[in-house]
Amino acid sequence: MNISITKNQLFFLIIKTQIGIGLLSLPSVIQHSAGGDAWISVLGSGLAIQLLILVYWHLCKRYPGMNLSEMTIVFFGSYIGRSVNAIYYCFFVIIAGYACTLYVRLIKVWLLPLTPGWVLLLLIIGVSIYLALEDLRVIARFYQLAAVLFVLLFVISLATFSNDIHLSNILPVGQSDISQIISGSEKTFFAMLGFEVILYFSAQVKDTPSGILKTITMANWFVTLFYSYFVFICLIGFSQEALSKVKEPVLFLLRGLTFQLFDRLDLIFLTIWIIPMSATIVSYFCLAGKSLATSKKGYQRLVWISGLLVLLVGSYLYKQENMESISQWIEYGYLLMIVAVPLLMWILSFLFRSRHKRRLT
Amino acid sequence: MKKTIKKWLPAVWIGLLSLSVSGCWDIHYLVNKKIVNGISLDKQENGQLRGTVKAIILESKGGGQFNVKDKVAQATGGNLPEIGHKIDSMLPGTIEANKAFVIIIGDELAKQGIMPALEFFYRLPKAYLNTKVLIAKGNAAEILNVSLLENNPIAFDIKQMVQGSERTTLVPDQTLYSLWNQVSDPAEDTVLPMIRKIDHDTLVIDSTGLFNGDIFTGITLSREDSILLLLMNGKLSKVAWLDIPLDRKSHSGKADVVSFEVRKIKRKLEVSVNKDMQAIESHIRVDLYSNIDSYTSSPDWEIDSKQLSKELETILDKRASKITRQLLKANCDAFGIGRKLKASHTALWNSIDWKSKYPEVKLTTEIHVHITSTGALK
Repeated sequence: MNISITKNQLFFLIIKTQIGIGLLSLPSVIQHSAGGDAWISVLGSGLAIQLLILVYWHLCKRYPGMNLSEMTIVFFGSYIGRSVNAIYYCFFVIIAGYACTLYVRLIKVWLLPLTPGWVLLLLIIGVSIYLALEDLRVIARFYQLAAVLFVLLFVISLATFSNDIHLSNILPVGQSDISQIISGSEKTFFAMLGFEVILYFSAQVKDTPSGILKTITMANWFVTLFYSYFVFICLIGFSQEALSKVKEPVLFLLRGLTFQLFDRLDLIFLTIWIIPMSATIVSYFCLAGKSLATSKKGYQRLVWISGLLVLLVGSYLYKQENMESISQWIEYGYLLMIVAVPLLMWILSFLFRSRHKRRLT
Repeated sequence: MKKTIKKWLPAVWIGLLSLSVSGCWDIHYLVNKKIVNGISLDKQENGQLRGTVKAIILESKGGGQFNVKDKVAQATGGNLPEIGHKIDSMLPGTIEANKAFVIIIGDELAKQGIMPALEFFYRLPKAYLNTKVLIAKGNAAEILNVSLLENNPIAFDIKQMVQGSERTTLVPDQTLYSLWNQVSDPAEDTVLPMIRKIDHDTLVIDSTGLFNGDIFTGITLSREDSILLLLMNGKLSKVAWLDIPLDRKSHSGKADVVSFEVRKIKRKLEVSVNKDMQAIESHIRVDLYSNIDSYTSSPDWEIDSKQLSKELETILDKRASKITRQLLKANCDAFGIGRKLKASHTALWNSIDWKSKYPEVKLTTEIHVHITSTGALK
């Protein structure tokens, strides 16, 4: 069950979980609040996440070799701890279902308009379970391999510089108020989620705590810069009015490109982007499994069950006409589960320090 | 052995499923499509749109060879999809507009604003945004009905004509994609290439129409002015050909034309605000690095570079100020002065209504001609 991974693999586990569907619509979402300074919002959000992962790291360092589901039991005792883990399980299943819904909707709009949603949902979940059933090392290796695609996506994005670009769109820097930039950061934060895998996966890394800190920091800033880059090219590539009207600006940006051999780079980009989007769902299956199961067999059984639940959640959410209130609830859930609870545990860890030390040794 | 099979089975299943299942619903056979490669839009008297499309027809000649022909269809409706649906019922096969090469908009319609008619393309994820957009002088449907070559689909020819004109910096490279960004930006205005019919089988693309927002102002720039506008905007394509009649009479008494080819430009746009006068001043300096293609004004055809460039500069300066006057009159901020003002004088930008302020801008120009080569002759 607890096969070790290298810190390099941890890096890819984090970035692959974080980078997903959120990026495609992010630029227009934050431009709405932060205007031409949207890219600053992304950096601000990276900073906030950096503080949060410092807390995560410190917590993990205090309890070496333990993931969050084991820690909750140490903290809250067997019964409450298990129920907290059960809540985490439900949370991860709902997140996976929510991500699948967004994913299916996107595919239906851009690629396969006539294919029924449940078919797409089934295909996505099927592929994800297939990978999630393996142990963490296999998953990490796949992520490592698939990360090559980021290079390809980056190269495709470079082509957008052949459009008319206007650096003056982001000038003057600092045109929005601090409050607007912060509200942009807030929105970015929810598009950059996925770093909570640290709480579960870093226990399996065989390295010194400082090595892990370096890795997770690097992962965070890689994602932050990756996101700010895409926000930046959208800001300079679109007029503000156009950007505020487009749903997925990162894809739309590529619609204006044409080459002798290639057309519709947006569709090529999206086809490749399917892999990072699926990786996010695989990670959540894995987290769901790890939050309740301790043996390999139990883990695999749990992943199958989660698959079924995600299918139910996904098809329920897919039918909803208005996702806004659901998104709002999911954001609250996020704040509670990945900010409030770990923070609480971190603070408690100072109080319980001596007692836990005795128990751990 | 058994274990490996068990492991691979799901992979094979998923692979087969995704290959076959996704095709069940979203399969599109090319034979069932009616591909539209040219669209024209005109204004109807009753406020509706009249759309004309040219659809491609492939006729098999046998042996894997095809004859490409096109067929015209016309319908009226409130918007583009409505016209599309009506035309779909007229033609065999499903109409498919996502490979249209050109969209031609009649000038009467363009004067009312072009974006509402085009919105459909932006909303439809399937639509192709590299379609060239042209404004027709007169009726756009007539342009599409011209046959330049026997049996050759006209939209291909028009597309190639536009590309040829773009290559020589005669008209701006405008697609649906670039158009939207320019029109939606309040700090900039757009210019579009104009197409007109001069004969029953001749079309010409040699002028540019000025826009105020998404509304065609009716003011067009002719060939030389159009080139100069693009050069002043810093948009040199591969080359630009200028044929400038000199003021002086030549030794033979005929009007003299000097032809030169611009290969490289440098352009500088400055925007400043005069605090006392509350006036916005803008200055454009363009340096043209050019080759002389033809010069017969002196008896021995010899070129005095210094003197000739000076002469050309005076003529071009005069033309440039004429163009700027036209731009201000049309309220068309083609140079993006607003954009510059917004970036450098943000407080002022926020306090004014750019559209009403722009015609009062003091726009001055300065053109320098550098003769880098005189060809094989001296």
